Amino acid sequence: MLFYTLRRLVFLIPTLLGITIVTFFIISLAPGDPVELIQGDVLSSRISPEAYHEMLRLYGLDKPIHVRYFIWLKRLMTLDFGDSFLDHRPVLTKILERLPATLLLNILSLIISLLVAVPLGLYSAVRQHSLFDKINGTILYILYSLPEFWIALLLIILFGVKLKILPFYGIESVNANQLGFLAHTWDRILHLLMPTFCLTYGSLAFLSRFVRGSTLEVIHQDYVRTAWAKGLDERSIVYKHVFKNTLIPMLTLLGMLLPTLISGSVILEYIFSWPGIGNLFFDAVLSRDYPTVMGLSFISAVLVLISTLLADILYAWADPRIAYR
Amino acid sequence: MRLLMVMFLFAVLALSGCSKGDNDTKTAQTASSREPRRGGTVLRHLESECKTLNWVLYTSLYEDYVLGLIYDNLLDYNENQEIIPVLAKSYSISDDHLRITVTLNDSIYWHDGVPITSEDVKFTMDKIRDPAIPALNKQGYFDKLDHVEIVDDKTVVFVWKEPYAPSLHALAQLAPIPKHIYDTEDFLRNPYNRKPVGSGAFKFEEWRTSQIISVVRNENYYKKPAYLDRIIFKIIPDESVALNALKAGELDEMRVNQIQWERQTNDPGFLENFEKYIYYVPTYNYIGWNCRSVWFKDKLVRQAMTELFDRETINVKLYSGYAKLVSGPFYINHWSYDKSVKPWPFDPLDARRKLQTAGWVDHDGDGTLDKDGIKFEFEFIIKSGSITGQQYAQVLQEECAKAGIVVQIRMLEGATFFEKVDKGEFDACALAWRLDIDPDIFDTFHSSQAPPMGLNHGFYSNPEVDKFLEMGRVEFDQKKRAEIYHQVHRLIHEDQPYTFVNTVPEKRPINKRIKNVVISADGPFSFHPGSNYWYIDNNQAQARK
Repeated sequence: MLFYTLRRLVFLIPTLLGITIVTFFIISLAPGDPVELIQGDVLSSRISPEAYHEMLRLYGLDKPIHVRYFIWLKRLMTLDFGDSFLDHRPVLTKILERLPATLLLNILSLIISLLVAVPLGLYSAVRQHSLFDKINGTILYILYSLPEFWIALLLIILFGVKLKILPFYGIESVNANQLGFLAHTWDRILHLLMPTFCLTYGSLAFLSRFVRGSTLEVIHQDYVRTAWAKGLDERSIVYKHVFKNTLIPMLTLLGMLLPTLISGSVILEYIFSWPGIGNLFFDAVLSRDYPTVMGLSFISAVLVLISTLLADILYAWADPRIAYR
Repeated sequence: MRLLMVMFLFAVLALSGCSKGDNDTKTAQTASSREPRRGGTVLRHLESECKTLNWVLYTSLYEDYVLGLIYDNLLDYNENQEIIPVLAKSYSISDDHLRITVTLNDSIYWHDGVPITSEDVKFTMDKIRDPAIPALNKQGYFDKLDHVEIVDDKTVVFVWKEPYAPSLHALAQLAPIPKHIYDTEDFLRNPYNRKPVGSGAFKFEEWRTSQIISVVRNENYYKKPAYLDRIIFKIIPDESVALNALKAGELDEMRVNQIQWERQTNDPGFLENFEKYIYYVPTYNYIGWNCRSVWFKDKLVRQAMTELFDRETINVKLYSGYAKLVSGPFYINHWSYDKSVKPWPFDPLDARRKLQTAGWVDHDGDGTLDKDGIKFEFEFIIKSGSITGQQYAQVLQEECAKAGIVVQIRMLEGATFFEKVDKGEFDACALAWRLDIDPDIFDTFHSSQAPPMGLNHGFYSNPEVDKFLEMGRVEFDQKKRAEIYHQVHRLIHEDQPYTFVNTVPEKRPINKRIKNVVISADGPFSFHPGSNYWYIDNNQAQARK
């Protein structure tokens, strides 16, 4: 097992390299040059040809693309993602500045949807075709189909504008600095309510249907029928025999969900003016801010690879039949 | 060079019954005789995060909003578009127009208490002109500047390479920054780029990334201090969320789009609390023709294209009648714009006659015009996401089809679009310019400014226009200069290198609790003192925390 993990970790390196090469070349070859785009944003003036070339040099864009890639790679070895083209601040600083807000929102949402979705799914599966299952299924399908940006705007109008009971933009109030710890926390919670709800209900519906589906598969297995025949009580059948076996597909799914922790809330971050990673990534791509795009892509890639690895390792834990060598 | 492609950012437009702030400026509320109340906070809207608050490096309109409060320019425009000394006490121009001597006010201090001297002015100029510093927004104004001389602590001389009519205008774009703060090894990464020390009526207070930027009153301002305690800029990217914030009293002003202006801000409750301002900023939409292409090298064809393009109907359908048609390349509220030049009419019949005169006839009877074996079939590029561009293209396509011209509409992603335009690799494109207040349009219409490096994207060339544009740069008498630019206006109107379409107003509701709002011809912020002396009405102040 240990050997397996180590081997997988070693294999991560070439995979990561491959990913960075592809991303680097795609973003660099995409039409539009950053200097030109920064000019496009300029209020009133355009720069002279000399200044233009000076800027290319400043950003290191005067060198050929493969040279640029190796320079980038060399800096990466020391975890230096370079400086953003837009404001000349280190990319890592920019990411770290925004990461907490995004993680807070996404982790909270993931925990809530898991806590709600798993019991709902299990219960629906065990009571398949019951009234509860039908109503629950209908509601979940409706939730799953409601676009989150639309619900977000409706909630904003209802709770933010009409009832005036919830804040609807930002992560904290303007005067948050002057609040005491408790008041500040409460302020944060109020700001979190609507974005978290909007981010959660869709994935909750999806997760819950997923749990129901995989539970149903297990429930019709012979060993479950045997357990019923032996006269075991429902509780131990569901928890000991059924639930454990539904874990494997769940783990695969969770492995896929981990990377969305930093990229899953772009639209909602925009709507709720949430100071997170989503807006940063979006702006960086549009303005061809290569260092920032590469920094964020690299982190996403690492997350994807680590979560697949984690999922694989957890398989072995959840199912003793799977053994890695 | 000081023009900006804005690509129909002003896609949407105006609709209120009253068009405030047309030519003459108006004060929103009649000033009461009593002294305005001190105190209160105004909540302003930023549509996007600022990148930097370094005055030399900033490039966006939003950064301009914030920095405009923190810094005072040496000279500036007042609300009547006249240049006045601000941070400077006075200025004088030598007879040969090569030297402008600027004397600073006596008791002016940076926000940290250090006196402002001519050293700071020279330092700022050095940074703007340093090729290793991307001072994109300011560099172009000073292309013709030779050097800056320090006479004494409070006197500097700007020496120009040649007589240059927009030189005073350039100084009206210049706000010195403090040398003792910014004179560090790495100018681009100076920590003060995110907490500026300025000279204006408001001091920087706080910047919470992607959330708020706030400024507070500068008590030691060399002029009368502001009335407001604080101005908080809230960064809310989504415009419908911002409008909700406006309605909930979480914002005092914002720029709204056409639908919001027409449909979402007209209920009695809103009108009771907000004054809706509409004004024309210096910008216009146009269709650019590539004057080198086989189809558009003849001015008769370009005129015909304009006559085929029904701008009046577009105005009514797209902008509910509130865009203004323009006939030339100048700001409609400026002395350079020749009001006697009327836009070409929509006249498909005359267009067909002109095409025929130019030799474009359907010789082979396939329904499409041709000349010397070349079909009249061209590509119209628009930036993807530009709804206005798309609509323009479709309207033109339809009318052209009737006249036997095939228009291929091609949408390009923003970066690709601008690359093609900058290189002059297009037949026709839909674009917009944001203009400077100074009417020098040498950079966009002089034949020497053709691609790949210049902004004359369509390779327009008319020796007479060239001559007038050169004259306009060295004529210092405003009356004579106006006559020169009126000539340019008439010639360009005749040549139609562009089909000039319209100018779309900016629309901005401002909460009525704010008093002393002055709207100049191009809005409430673009002049001195702008919003420095806004104050909050006593009676309505308590309603808000």
